[in-house]
Order: sequence, then structure tokens, then C-alpha cells
Amino acid sequence: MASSSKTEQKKMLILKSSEEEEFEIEESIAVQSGTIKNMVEDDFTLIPLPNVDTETLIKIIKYMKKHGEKTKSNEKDIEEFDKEFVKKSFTELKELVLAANYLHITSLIDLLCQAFADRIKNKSVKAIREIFGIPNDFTPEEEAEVYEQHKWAHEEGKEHIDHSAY
Amino acid sequence: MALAMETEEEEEEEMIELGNLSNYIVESIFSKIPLKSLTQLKTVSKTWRNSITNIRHCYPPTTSSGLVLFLKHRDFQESIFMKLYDQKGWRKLSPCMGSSEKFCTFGSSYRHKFSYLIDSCNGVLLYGSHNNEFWTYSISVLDQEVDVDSQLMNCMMFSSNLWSWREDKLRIMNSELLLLDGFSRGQCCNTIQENQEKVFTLRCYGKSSEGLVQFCDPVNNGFFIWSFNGGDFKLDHYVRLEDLRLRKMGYSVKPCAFNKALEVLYLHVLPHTIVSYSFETRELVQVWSYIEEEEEDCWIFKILPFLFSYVDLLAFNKLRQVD
Repeated sequence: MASSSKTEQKKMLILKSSEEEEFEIEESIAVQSGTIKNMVEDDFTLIPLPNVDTETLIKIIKYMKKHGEKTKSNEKDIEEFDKEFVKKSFTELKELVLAANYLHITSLIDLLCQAFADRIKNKSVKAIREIFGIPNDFTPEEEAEVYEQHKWAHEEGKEHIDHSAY
Repeated sequence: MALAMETEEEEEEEMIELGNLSNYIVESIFSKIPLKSLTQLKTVSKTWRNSITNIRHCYPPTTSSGLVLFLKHRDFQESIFMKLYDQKGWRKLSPCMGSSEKFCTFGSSYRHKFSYLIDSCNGVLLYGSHNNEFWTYSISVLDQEVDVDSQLMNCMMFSSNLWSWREDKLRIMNSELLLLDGFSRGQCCNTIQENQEKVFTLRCYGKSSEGLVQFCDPVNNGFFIWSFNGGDFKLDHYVRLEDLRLRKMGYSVKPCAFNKALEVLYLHVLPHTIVSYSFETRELVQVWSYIEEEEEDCWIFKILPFLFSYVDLLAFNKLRQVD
């Protein structure tokens, strides 16, 4: 019914989370998501997002709203926002990146991947396994072999290794 | 939360579930982790080891880096600009062969007093000029466009867009750099950036900068490689000469550049050969050698490294955006 004709009035969309909660958002902001953009082009105004739970959707909407008002002058402001935005637990980050991937929000995917990279790059191997839920499938001999092959990376210049799993 | 681990195939299309994250996401994350750290992560699990190895294989490292060589012949000097790991040719799996590298040569007369690049790292470029016996560098607190002023120096500015040199002027101020022969630095310097109007802006390099300077410290049996981030020194590598297995052991070997992102050390094998040693592959590759039939009387008297953009270990990210 709704046609995407260019009027002055701001067109609103409704995003629905997997828990059936609805959120209103301006179309111009929502189309930062490639997935939503496609649906809008197919004339949807109510956008069901069965892969995104309410909590995550709220955060994503917050991100899109902030980035939707990007101008030359508020770049620093947005940088600060991004910095704070990624200060979340690993579980939250995981949910966010899954949702951002599903929604095709490139800038958010990049931001989250960078946050992941920064958080895990100094972590001990054990902590990584815990964070990602990965069992160690090496036998002790195999593990020693891999370690030996890449000894250069494990020796010297080791900063304090972070063993925490959050 | 453990999920079933699938064995890695060569195809990138296969979805690998690593704690719920898709292959593309995992690769994106890996691409933002420094090489040394990434290599450590190979010991996490077989899947990660395979995934990381696969990424390094399919997407060989690219960086816009190079070396400027100053050759001394009997009667004249010559400068050669050598580009390594051409970013555009990222598909090449072995980019490091001298003959296929793009380089341009320009001659300079013996008496020319160009100021030129001394060190560079992550877009931070240091220019210096040599007047008689003294070096002057640029550490500037200017945060504005370069003005026509006293204390100007001629310099050759390199434009990584146009891939060309041009003469320009730069103001020189006091430096706190340590000056030793070879490749040693204590503190870094300027960011010189080009904006659209092709004027240069000098920025101060404070502690918040991301630049990192490498320092090769030769000892009896090899070299220590330190990195200095403006705050303190950190030991990165210790290279034993005998590990390098250089065949021409009779010649002298000096480190001349270190690419931290790729973990590659460049060595000047006197008098006119450059080899690269990769910590990752532990391979020694000849990068360049001067061979001119009649003239043996030539040697490299200065090698200056260049790195003018961030390394994108996973260049395919840029390609993906094209579709």
C-alpha cells in the first residue's frame, strides 16, 4: 500500500524484534541496513526481524540513529559514541555482530570486528577458548608441534598476557 | 557453547561455525589482528589453525611499502625507488622477486643536496637534510599549512597517489632524534599528509600517535629488533645470524628495514644486495641486487624504508565492497 514516493514528510518504518516488540524509526535512518533497504524497496513498512532479539535491536537502532545524523562537524562526537558503544561483554558483542551481519550494516560490522580484534589480540589461548566456547582438539603432542612451528610468535616481546575471559 | 568443528577445506564458501560467528565475520576479525598475535592464535584449535593458515595463503599480505636505495657508482650517484608488495597486485603469491617489482630510477648529481626520507612508519614520514656535516630533521609543532618562511629546506616529497617525486619546501626545527649510522631511531617525528589541495600539513607526533619505529641493534651473533612507540622500547625479535643461513657468509650483513605488520626483516648484504627474511615463513628471499656487467664498482650507501599506508592483511575486504 505504501509507495516510496519522495515526499517532504519523513517516512516511518516499524521494526519488529524476534520477541514481537515493535519500534518506530525513520526510513532514512533505517536504510543504513542493507537488509531493511531491500525490504523497503519491496514496499514493506513493517519489517519483521526474527533473527534479532529486542535488546540487540534497541542497541542497533541507537547506533543507526547516531550514525544517521552524521555531518562534517560531529565526527568526533560519533567517534566517542563508537568507543563507548563497543564497551560491552563478549556475549553482547557476539549478538550485535550477528545482528549487524544479518542486517548488512557495514560500518557496524567493521566497528564490531575491530572491537573483537582489539579485545582478543593480547589474550591467552585459554581465555580465547573460553570466550568462543572452543574445545582444545589438539593432542598435547600436536599442540607442542604447532607451538614449535611458530615459536617466533610466542617468544620475546610478550607483553603481559591477559588471561581473563571477558 | 561448543559447536561441531568442521574440517577446513580450501573453498572460502564453506561456513565455519566458530562460536556462532560466520566465516566472513571471523576472517574480518582475524584481518584486524597483528600478525604475531594472529600466529599465536593458531594454537587455539585445529579449526582456527586451519582457518588462519588458509587466510594467509589465499590472501597474501599486501602493503604499500618500499625502499629507497642510494647507489654510489664511481662517478655518480643514483637513487632507486623500489616498491615492494604492490598493493594492486595482491594476488601474487610471491611478490618479492626483484625483476617483477615496479621501480623507477632517477639520477642525482653528486653535489645535490636534496633532503630526503629518513624513516617512515604507518604514514609517519621523517625528512631530513644533510648540509655539510650536520643533519637537520623535522619535528614540528605546526598544525597548519606550511608557510614560506626562513629555515626552509628543499625536499623531495613523494606522492603516493601520483607515484612521483617533486621538489618542495619544508621548515626545519630542532630534533631529538638519535643519530647513529644505520637504522636506529629514538623518537619519531612528523606526519606529513596531503590534502586535496596538494599542500602539506605538518602534525605533531605526540604519544597518542599510532606510529611505531623499529630499531635494529646489531650484536655479535645477530640482531635485536626493538620497537619504540614514543613511550618505551619493547623487544620484538632476536635474530641469530646463523639461523638466516646466508650462503655468502663472507659478506657483511646489516639490517636495513623492518616491516612490523608483515614481520619481514630486510637485510643489506654488502655491497649491493638486499634480501628479505620473513619470520612467518622463515624464508630468505633475494629482493634486489645490482648487476651491471662491466661495473663492479658500485655499492649501496644508504637504504631508506617506506611505508605509506596501513597494511590490509585481508585485501579482499576492499574487493567485496565493489559488488
